[in-house]
Amino acid sequence: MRPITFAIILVGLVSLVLLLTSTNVFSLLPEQHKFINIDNPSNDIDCVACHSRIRAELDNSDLHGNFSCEDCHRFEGTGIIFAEGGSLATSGEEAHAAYTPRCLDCHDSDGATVAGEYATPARAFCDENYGCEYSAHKALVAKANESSMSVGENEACLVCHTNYSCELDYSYFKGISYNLSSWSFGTSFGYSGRRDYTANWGKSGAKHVFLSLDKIDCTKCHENIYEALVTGTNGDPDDYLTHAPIEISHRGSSGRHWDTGNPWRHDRYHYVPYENRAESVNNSYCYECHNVNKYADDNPSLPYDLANVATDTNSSNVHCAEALWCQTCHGRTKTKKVIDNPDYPSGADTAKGHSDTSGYGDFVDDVTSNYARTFQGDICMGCHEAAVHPSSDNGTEECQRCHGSDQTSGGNADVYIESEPSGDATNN
Amino acid sequence: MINLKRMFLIIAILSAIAVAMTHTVTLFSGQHSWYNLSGSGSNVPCLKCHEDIGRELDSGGVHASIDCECCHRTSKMVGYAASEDGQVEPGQGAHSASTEECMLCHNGRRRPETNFTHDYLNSSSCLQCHDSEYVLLAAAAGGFGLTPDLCDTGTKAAHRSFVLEAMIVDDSLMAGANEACIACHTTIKANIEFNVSTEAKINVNNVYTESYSYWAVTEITPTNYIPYTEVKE
Repeated sequence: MRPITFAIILVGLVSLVLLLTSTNVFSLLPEQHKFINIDNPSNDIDCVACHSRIRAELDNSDLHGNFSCEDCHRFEGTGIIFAEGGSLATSGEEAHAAYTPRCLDCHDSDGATVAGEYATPARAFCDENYGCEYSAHKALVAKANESSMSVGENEACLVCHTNYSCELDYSYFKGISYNLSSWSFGTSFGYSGRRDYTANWGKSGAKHVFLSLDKIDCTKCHENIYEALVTGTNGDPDDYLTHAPIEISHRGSSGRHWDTGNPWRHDRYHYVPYENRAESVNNSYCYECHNVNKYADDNPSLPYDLANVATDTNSSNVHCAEALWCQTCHGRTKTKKVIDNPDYPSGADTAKGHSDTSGYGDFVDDVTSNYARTFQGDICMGCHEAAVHPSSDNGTEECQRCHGSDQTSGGNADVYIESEPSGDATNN
Repeated sequence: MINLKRMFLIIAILSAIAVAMTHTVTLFSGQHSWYNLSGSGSNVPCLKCHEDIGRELDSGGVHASIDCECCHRTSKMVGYAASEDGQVEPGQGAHSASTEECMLCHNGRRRPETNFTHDYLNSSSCLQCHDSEYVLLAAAAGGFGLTPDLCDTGTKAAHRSFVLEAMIVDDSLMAGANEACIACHTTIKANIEFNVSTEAKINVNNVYTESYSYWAVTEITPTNYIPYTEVKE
């Protein structure tokens, strides 16, 4: 027998004898009797030992990264009794080690101080019944509260304020049509078709990576609106771009009637030049209409009388965006009521417009009163899309379609316009 | 170097002497030294076989001062083998020890509702648990809705499903909710397979007539689940 073979057999036999004669048995699950000391009157269990991924997410978060697990998950402001060790141990009641917090536990109307930081109230959504009806995302928050997917309204908070991704499957009307005759539709208004649109804001999926407010991108969830403003439907010389109107006038640079150099002597509020639409259609652009109050605060030097415009809106009472319609700013009594070209040749329609009873009548307010909000933007866009106002030398023919041959009685225009994102329209 | 033949000779002589002796050598020494079981409690030294557990308990943390029997011979539903004052109980549900739920002590129940019994404990064990005037009962593991405290609803407990899942008998690794208890309260290693949603799918319908409309969020569902593993060392 070779020495090495002998040695292996000898070691094997010795091991076997040791194993069979040892008085010790081995635990199936070692360290199950090695209990953690919970003498401190707080949490002694290392949450991160099981939740290191969440800690890593927080470490990469714009907000809340300095919080400990306990700051949120054993938040004392709720009145929940958590289990605690110490000489006088506390038995938990509603929760043992931790609870799943509702974002509004800290961001309620009173706010809260967590880890030395003040958690600001979630405006509007922290109010009773989630605030006024004009908060654009109120339905999402209310549904989130009904949903069993997460605690309270958290689903709604997470999809905007964290890296948790979201897919939105929208379903809405495809198009509307009407005949505009003497500033009335008569019985001609109709809607048709159904459009399904999916917007997907793909992120890392991490619920504990909180986004700074500037990273919440409206156009991701409302990609159909973005496409309508940037891509639309190809046309010549102008693309059919809907959702934000042009301001129509006789004058304009480069032979166009809806860019700068207009009678109002300033860049048009809604107009986005072609060359940088992809970048210019952003949160700030959305705020121009959907949160005038914020836009005014962010742009104090603009010449649009935004302080007064803001008072026409409900923007100071909404969370981030206002559900509104054109009349909100352009109704008869509003700061930006619709007026005609101020340098139009003298006549009955001078600077009166169609949201003034002394001009063409209460057309804008009539639309608001008589038609569903969902159609109202497109009703306006049926005339105010640039593409349905092709440039011409004098613009007369295009004006007559809506304004009539004498510029006072109103014309006769058959309009069909598609919803976002295509925005394709005819105005004949 | 020792001559091989000489070494075999020595071994043979020693063997012959051993055989010729009047006392034989037992293969397992001590196998006839019986423990006296007449005292109260367990008189068998558990640590002879479970020294590793003794070391774990001695390493610190809670329960460091508690004898094995305080946990493993305390269920009144069992009936352990015991002998005291000439009375012998042969054992029913278990002989020397049972594997018990942490909640046997930590369920917040007092006599007569509790299944905990002191009947099989040595009287010297008292101070191991009752070493303080305040500590009349082991602290209840409240916050999961498992104790008789009406305030113990557990409705907001983040780990409640973990505890309840651990309690399912058909899929049980350990007694009661012990898997959940020891995963957090001991240094046992654990591999935790998480499967988490990374996306919400939201259905938004525009409901309308000619004169009235609203946006209805009809459904929010979690999607795009991804698995990952946490290793608790």
